[in-house]
Amino acid sequence: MARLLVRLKLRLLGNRFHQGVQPALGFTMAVIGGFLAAAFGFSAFNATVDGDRDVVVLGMALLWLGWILVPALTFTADETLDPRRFQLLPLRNRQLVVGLLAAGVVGVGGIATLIAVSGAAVGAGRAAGQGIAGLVALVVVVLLAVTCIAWSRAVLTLLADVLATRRGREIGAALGVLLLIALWLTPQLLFGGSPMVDGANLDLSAPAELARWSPGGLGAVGVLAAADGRLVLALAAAGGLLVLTVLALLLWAFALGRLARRSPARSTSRRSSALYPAWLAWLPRSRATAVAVRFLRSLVRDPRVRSQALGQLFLVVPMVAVGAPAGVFSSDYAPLLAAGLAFPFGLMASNQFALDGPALWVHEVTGADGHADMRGRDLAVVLLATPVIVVAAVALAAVSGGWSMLPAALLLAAGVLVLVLGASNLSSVLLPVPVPERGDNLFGTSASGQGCINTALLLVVYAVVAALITPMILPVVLVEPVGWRTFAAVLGLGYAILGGWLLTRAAAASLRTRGPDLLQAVDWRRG
Amino acid sequence: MSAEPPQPPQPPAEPPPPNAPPQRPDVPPQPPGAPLDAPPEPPRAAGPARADVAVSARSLTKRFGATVAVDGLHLDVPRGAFFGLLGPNGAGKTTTLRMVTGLLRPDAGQVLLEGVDVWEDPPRVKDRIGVLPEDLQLFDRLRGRELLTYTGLLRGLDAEVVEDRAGQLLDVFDLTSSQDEMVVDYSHGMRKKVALAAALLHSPRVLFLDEPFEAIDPVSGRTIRTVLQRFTADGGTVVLSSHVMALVEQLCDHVAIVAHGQVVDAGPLAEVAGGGSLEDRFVHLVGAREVGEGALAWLGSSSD
Repeated sequence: MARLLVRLKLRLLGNRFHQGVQPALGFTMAVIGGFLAAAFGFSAFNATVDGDRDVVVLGMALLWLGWILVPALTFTADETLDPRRFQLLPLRNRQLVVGLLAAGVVGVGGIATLIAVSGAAVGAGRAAGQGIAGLVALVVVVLLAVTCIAWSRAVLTLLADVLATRRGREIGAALGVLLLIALWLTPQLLFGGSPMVDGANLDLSAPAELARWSPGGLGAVGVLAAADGRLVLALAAAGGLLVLTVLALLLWAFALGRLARRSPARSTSRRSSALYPAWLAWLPRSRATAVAVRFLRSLVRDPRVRSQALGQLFLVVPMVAVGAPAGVFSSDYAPLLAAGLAFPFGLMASNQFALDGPALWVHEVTGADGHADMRGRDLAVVLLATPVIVVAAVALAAVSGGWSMLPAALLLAAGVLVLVLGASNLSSVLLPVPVPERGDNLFGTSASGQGCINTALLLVVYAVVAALITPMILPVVLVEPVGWRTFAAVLGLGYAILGGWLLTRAAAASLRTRGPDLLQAVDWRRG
Repeated sequence: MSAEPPQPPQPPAEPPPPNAPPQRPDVPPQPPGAPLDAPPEPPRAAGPARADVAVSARSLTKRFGATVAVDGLHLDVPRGAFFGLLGPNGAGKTTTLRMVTGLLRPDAGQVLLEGVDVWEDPPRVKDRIGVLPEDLQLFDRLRGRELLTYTGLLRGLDAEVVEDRAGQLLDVFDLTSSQDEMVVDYSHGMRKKVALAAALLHSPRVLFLDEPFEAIDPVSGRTIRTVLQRFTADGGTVVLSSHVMALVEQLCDHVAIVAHGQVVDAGPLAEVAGGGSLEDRFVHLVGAREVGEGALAWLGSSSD
């Protein structure tokens, strides 16, 4: 059975190359990404086994934790083999578990993990100066990789009851985003800097001591013991990992049995069903305002839209992380930073049609002008962005005392928002990136590498937009005396309005002729 | 149905075999059981739109890579008809409906809806049609009533009219009690009903329904049938695709049978059925594979 499932997995992965250019390209990028991660992990573990040993312990502990948390919170486990597809076959759970585990190792993540941790085995063999130590360390790291995969699957299957409800999946996805933000900010909060930059100054002994007690830490203890020539301890660690793996498999088999017996859950909500919320009741009823309101509702209710659109705001985190230590928030220029917020807000419309997915046919079948739809989504972004930017600008002026810069900052923010929205409108028509439905399948996600393609296209959009807004920003920052900056911002706003109008007009013209093609392009099921 | 324009009589190339079904004079002869091997019917000029034809497709073609989904299809749907588009899985019914409704660009061919070219003046055409697609991808993070309001405003209807009609449609389709639930939490049958309500909201003249009764319970099915029959009685045209013969025989007055992307027979139901059952005619035209007596001989024997 294991051999059969491994072959099935390989066939499914290979079929990516027969499903069109995009899945093939996406999978290729996933393989390249996995290879790069594996190479980095290999060299890092190889170098640190006889160097900073705390890094080995923390690295392996985080590897194990990552295998547990990331799939559980984002449902991105094995995308090819869903255990429920085997429920009708007369297979014992034990057979299925072992087979799926073997198939799991074959994936990009499994192989990348194996390559990365084997760097530690090579390092251990070199440090001990004897081949047998390297061999024992290799056994340890292979068991560690298998343990990671087995625990990942077991936990995901155990959480199936929770994840079976829409609300459960969405809460999980939200926690996943929070986890990413927390991981990003942790070095800032704990050490006041990035460990990538200041690694030499960090004292990792306390967290490493704690991490030793995790399964990943146990693997690290085994590798380091082998590096010291203490082979008995290393073998004991390997035995411990074996026991942990067996425990995970038993847990997984139990969870699979429970999954087969549970009934599908359904969550409901009961609230007022007026399309326009009370705070937007003043809007005139039209196609454009209906689209605006629906877009805002999607931001609140639909995790796909929320993560894609609000993910743009994540750009603010590195801005703050870089700007705060440099003291830019206390300079006279500080209010101008509020204009920086307009950039991610404007980008929320950069994939506006793909966010609707195949449901876009509801718009297309009406045959009405898509220009109104763009106006509606732009209106939604303006409604969201305006209070945030104004509050941020005023707060920055208050903190820095740079009140004289406030009018220029607000004008600049308006200009950036208009211009970025124009560019986003055009990119949403010309470069739609399908946004796959998430959470329908407990073990399902988008095609491998789709994220890489999305990121590459997004970077292109970022670059073009940055080039467009630079001529507007530079005069406001550089002009002397200060009084002229407001005038420069007014001129910049004129430039932005003209540019935004031209870009949106081009987008609308394109939309008129290629509505059905856009409908095809945003349908993730055809990818 | 006056599905095709009058054709000069053509003598058959070969005499029909003994078990051939009766041929209609307005349909070119097809070899029984192997209609797909026959050359496609020659395209006819679209010509000026006829007042009695609601939908007219000529030489409609669509390829997906190497697969030809629709292959030079011709179709005429009379105005006021309850028209059934029949075909086995993968015959090209859904692709045809998507092209006819302006949701999928054909590689070749022409579609006229009440005389207006679907691909030359989409807004004018789409204002007159209502569509219920098979895959039911909706804005499912809206609640049931919100979805109807949204659809009505997208179609440019007055807000008060939308509210009034939405309430009536929710009531008729027994969705009032679930109007405050999000569509994502609806069952498949409820999704179908709310999508049908959305398709009816602007009072279209032609309704395109892809498998409308799939997953619908008998009570709701009866309601939908009544609504659709009233719609056609008032002059509307319904085009529904299905492979459920009993349903089509019960509802439709005209049918077209599609196989391998082509219409292999079309006309009034009774004429297409040719005095027998529609299912027999359908199976004959699409070429059913008989199960030989020796095949699957092991089936039913113990597996122990």
